[in-house]
Amino acid sequence: MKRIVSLSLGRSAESFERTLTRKGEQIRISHFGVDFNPDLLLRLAQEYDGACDVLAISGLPQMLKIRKQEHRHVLEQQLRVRVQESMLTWGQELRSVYATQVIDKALRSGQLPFPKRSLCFVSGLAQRPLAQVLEASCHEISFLDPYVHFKTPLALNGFKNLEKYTARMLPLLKKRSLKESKRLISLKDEKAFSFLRKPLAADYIVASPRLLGRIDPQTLQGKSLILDEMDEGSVEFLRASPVHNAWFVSMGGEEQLKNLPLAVIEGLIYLEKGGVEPVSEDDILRSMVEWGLKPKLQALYPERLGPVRKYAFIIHPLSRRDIFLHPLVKPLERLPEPLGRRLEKAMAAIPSVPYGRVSGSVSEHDGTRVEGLLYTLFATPREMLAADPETVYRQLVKTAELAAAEGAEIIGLGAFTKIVGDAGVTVAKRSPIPVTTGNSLSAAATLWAAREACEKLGLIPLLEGSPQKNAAQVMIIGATGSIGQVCARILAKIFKTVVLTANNGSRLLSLRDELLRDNPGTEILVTTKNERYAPSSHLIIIATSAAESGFFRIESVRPGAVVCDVGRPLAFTADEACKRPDVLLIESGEIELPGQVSLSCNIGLEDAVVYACLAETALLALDGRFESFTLSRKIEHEKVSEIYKIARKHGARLAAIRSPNGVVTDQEIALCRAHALRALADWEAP
Amino acid sequence: MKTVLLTGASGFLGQFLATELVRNAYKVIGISRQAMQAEAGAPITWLQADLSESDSLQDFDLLDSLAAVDIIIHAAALYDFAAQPEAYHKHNVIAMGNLLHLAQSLPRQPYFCLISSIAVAGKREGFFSEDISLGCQALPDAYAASKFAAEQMLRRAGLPRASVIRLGILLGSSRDGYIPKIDGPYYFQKMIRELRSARRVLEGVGMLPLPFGEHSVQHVLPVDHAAEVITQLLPPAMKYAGLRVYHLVGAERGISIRKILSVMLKFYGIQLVPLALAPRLLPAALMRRLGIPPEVRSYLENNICFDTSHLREDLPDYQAPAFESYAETILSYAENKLFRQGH
Repeated sequence: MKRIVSLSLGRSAESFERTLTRKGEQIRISHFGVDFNPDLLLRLAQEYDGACDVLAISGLPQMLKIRKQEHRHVLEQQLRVRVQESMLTWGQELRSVYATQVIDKALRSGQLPFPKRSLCFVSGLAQRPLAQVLEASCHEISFLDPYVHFKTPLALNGFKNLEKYTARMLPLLKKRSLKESKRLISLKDEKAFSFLRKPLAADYIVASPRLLGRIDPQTLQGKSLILDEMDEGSVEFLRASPVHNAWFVSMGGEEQLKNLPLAVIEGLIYLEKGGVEPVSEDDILRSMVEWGLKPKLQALYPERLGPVRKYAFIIHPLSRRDIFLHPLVKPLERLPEPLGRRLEKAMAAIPSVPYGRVSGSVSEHDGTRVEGLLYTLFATPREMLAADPETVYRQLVKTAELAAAEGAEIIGLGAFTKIVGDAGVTVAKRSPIPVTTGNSLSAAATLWAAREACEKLGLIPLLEGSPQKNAAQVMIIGATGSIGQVCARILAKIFKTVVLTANNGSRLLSLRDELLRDNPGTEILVTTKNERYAPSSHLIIIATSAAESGFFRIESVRPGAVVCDVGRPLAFTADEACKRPDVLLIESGEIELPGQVSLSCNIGLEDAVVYACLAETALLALDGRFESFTLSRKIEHEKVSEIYKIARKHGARLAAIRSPNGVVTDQEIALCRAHALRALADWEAP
Repeated sequence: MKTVLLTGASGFLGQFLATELVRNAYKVIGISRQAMQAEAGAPITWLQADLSESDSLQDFDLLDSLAAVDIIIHAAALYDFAAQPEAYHKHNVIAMGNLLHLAQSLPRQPYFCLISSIAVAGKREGFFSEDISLGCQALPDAYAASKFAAEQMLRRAGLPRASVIRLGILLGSSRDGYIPKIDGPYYFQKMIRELRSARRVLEGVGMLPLPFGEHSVQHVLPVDHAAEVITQLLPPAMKYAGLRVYHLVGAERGISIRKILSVMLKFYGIQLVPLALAPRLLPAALMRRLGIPPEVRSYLENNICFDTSHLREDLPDYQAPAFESYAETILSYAENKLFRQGH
């Protein structure tokens, strides 16, 4: 029986024992990892020298050819001297020619999505031929060599810098001990390793099975990897880690050749051709043809396409109390009141900081994955509206730059950040990545929630899609605002009577003219007094915040009406809502993103539910539409229906209907209906 | 009559396993590194071989004599805090490779049972299922790494039927307390024993600071109990195709170190409450001074619950022995046979 002993510098957990049958002859393959212990590797090699036919060595730095000169690591030199009888194989040819070509082709042809065209090599030196080839198709390529070799907190950008580094450090590198016990690459301690963040945000991290042992598994959260080789131990490592996906070169061919280290395959080629001469390039080529080897890129999770795409979203505290939700400023919570007010002012000037992540969103349509980066400003609405818009723009653009560096491809403006100044237009002009206010989906979600509430309550016959219009009356409070306007445009197509209210009469008139032009059959009523038409409206949409909506009592609402509140803070408190059990009072729609979504921070909502404007940003990322989708105060209703379709396509759902008193269950709706029917019997429309 | 090839038959667990297997009418072939006299221990056939030597199992005569083997129980392992990583690799990884090769070449495709350790769980907390896929857990030391490597090798060997039994920390026999050397909780016993002289002073304080985590637990079980359960487990376990993992750890949730220490203090008549001192904060030198190898530190802050559903499924009558029921026996043995005779 022939024997191949394969020694890898990597983890001992990748060891295996296998017997193959090739051409009627049995070949025993023993593979041992030595847990980064070069002395042990050397000792085992000496021990097995002569006791086996081939000694296959993996995980050593590759031989470097610089200016026609060959440089080998001292461990390789020692092995070459000490191993006398058995044949040494390294798999170098297979790795540097075939594996490299496969990866290069996949990136060029688009088999692997390559959105930012950026790569990060854990060690460019260990995989130099690969780095050299891939450099041409990258916009950005970075190497963590100085850190991996000498713990210098530095990443090299571009292949040229790697070359310079190599030329300078070569004498040291050749002798550097390969004894490595620590998982070095880790983002656990954000401050200490901040230089790692940008390189690790690349589309793909390129590594080899041995280099995997240098990475803290938690750091791989949501990352995509490319490996030039694979073994079963590394497959298990990756499966147990939170990595998004990994692509690795597999030589294909027969089942029994699967996941063998390349050095072992070279050893098999050596044995097959008689075991006399060292393996030549031609032997490899011939064996590839004869054995039907087809090097190809295989995915760890074939169902997950492409890398995780990232989006960013900016939020800010809605009240002074919320400021202290961020762990950084939590200790300041106990300051006395007068100081607190000053603090509020002072905090408004602080630039944004990372707040948390929204992870686990997966499209139900095509399995694309996205991850959200949340940033927070510390300005409360009061401070933000009082501030010079230019100051806020600067803060927002700065955040967009920060997010872009982290790999985000679009940024959404939350809460009051999209109200300041020209609602995102200036920010979008200056930002390195597209910007959206998320208002299209906010509007869509409002109508979505209103429709669902009306359907469930069953008191208003909705005849959507039919030429005959709905006989009911809808009132939009704050109709001249951005969400109010687009709601009015859409609802005017559905309802027979539309009431528009706002503070500014002249704007109301021009909106009325516009609606009448587009919908000649609709009755459009305008008023600046909210309560005037409230008793006759079946559906009321409050599209402005309580402070601006003017005087409006819940007592004036018709029984069985649906009141949908978009504004924040809400127009009615929980107590007020309790006064009218016969009115279905709901908050505008929040969205549940598809997939097992989890938030690492508190944004004031429960579980995995997110604000519609955040959901719009996430959905645009899922759909790969990195464009400034919604900007300025004017929302186009085409955009509203488009984002609604995108939401349905990727499987986003409307979160449970909520009122100021919490989630509204179907039972509560049935109860509300019963109350409404009773109250309607005595109800006299004024 | 089924034939069992038992590695490490002269070891601590091996001796008990051999006796138990013979009692249950198995024919046992024991492999040991040392040449064993036929009369020593249970009546079994002895083979002398060093599994970690590459050509130890290539002998044709040897292969002939093993042709009838139905079951391989691999209980040989190096477990010694003083050992170097290279030694662990040799005895726990390379030996596993050689034994697996033997298993692959034996005609009857024997059932392979690997005795592993709960150390492979690494540094993690909470519930630890038998079916959890391991791969990237941080392992505390070279012993754990080598045992994990052995498990992974078995997983990849493609044997038709195999099992891994992860054992907790073995204590002496519950019958007479026999244990050949000090290990695990015995280090604490030794330390407490030495504190007897300072009892008066300490009792004035009322509390005794000791290196352990307040909520940490130890999974301990007497060796004879382990041997018994492994033997009983063989017939039901052999019915499963593929690889099946068992946790044999005494109590599923472990026994709190505080309780173990209280029992020991009571044994030596010291009226003190143990006070938890986080071991990771103690310098290695101090631990050594207290007579505890610093490598033990990471095991003193565990709070893992090992799932034993496979064990309970296959042995419905299984009952973990209560620590109180055998504590006195093993503490007395250690006191009389180990410490007094100057171990």
